[in-house]
Amino acid sequence: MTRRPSAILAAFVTTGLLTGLAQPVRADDDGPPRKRPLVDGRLRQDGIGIEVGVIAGRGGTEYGVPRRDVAPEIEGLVLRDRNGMSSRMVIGLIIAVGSALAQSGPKSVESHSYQSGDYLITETKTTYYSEAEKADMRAATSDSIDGLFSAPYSDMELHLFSRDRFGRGQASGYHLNFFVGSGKPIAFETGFGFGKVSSQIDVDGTPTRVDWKYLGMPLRVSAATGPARIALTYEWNWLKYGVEGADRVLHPGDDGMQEITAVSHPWHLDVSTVVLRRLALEAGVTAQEIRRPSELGFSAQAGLLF
Amino acid sequence: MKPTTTTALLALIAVVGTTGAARADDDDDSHGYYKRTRGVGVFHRTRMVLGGLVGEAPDVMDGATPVPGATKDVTQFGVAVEGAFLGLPSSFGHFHGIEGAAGVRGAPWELWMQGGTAVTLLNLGHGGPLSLRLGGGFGAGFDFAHGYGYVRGRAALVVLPDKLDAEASVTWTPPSASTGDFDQRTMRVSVWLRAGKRSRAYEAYLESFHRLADGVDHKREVEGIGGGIGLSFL
Repeated sequence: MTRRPSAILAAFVTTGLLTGLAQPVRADDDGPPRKRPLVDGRLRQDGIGIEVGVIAGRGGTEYGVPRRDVAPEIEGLVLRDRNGMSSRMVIGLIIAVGSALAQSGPKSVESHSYQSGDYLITETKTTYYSEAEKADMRAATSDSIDGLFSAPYSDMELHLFSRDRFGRGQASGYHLNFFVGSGKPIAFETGFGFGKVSSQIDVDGTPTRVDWKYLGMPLRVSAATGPARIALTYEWNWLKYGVEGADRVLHPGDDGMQEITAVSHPWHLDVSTVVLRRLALEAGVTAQEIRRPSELGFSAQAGLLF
Repeated sequence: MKPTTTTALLALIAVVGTTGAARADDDDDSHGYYKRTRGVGVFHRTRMVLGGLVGEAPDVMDGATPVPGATKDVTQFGVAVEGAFLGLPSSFGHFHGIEGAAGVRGAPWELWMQGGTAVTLLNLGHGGPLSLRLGGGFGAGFDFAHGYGYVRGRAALVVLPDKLDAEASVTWTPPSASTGDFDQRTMRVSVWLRAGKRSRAYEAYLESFHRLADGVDHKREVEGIGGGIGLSFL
């Protein structure tokens, strides 16, 4: 790890150690505070808070193509809203807009053509939703959004990477996921995400740019037990299907650099915890293909919880 | 931003984050006047303002061949409404919630809206002189130039209890978070004076706004300073 992230991590760790004295908010009629362990995985899973931190990654992360020896180093910032409003609002807005579009659109469209003399006649029958059906759809949408806001878990995770501002890695861009979910002791969360990261590295002495784009659905199962929270996340990247074969291998670019596009549906296995009720720590392994365990990527995160 | 600056900022956030005062979640003073759930300044939930801005913009006209680098003086007027409610106590001694703002600017005329999550990072004091609240927010919005994500930092201070409070804020959209690759930044200093009704305060503000595209002249670029007046409510 380069000097600056180390310095940032050191600042977080040092100040995090001072945070054991910080007390949670309590109403006047609260009972005595529940004693929390100093290393608390359940707080990571169930706690409500904003995390601001740093992230570093090496090896075969999703932003590279490890089988082509394209493995950019990533460094940047993490912003996470755990169990807060961000993810619920965004996913709720998408559901509301989608429902409104569905209600205003046709229920079905049927057309058939036939020959009549010298003419080809096409008849189209468009059926729209009745008012009763629209009312049912509105009720279902309302129930869905209510469910979002009553679900115990939500997560907004933003990773910001930089080569020159807040990181010295080789990647620049962002990776954003929204989750909502429930379940105990095993929690299931899903939602949607998107991102765009461009990295610049040397491959066999040749300057190379590797582009990664993401629009898709993340799915996560997680559990907290004692000092740790363990999460397995799969990111179903819909944009993978639109990348042509020629872009998946190294090829000359317009600006004299080699280019390649990173595409995968990555798996992430993360172990995380909260230390001293304020400092969040996480270590993770990424596999672009489960069949290739030698091409793993590794990441580490540290952040303060507010 | 220099590396040392970034490190210092993160360290500062870390330090101030450790000192969130532990209070009941409604956290009233004796008059019910100070609440940590209020997200505009120290005492306010909403603000409505009318203001103007003078500055420069690229001299670009529809249908005409632009002269690279040529600028023209512009004067913009605008109205805006903004609200923030910090109703969600976190597990770590802070308050989070939602924020939103909308307005119109002209000319060129445009509508803008944005919304997101509001957070507090530090509360010192309980409404007395020099009571301090550090916080911010992040979210997304749009105007006629682009769709964007933003981050915001703010510091609010009580100058005279029940009478005068102030807030400085910076809202930033980096080019990577703009669909039009704009770098957009708003810096504002607001002062609220409470006179008459306790639920209402008069606001005066100074504001710097820039929205610049990287390397190209765009008709929605603008850079200038201005100010205005408004009303805020508890």
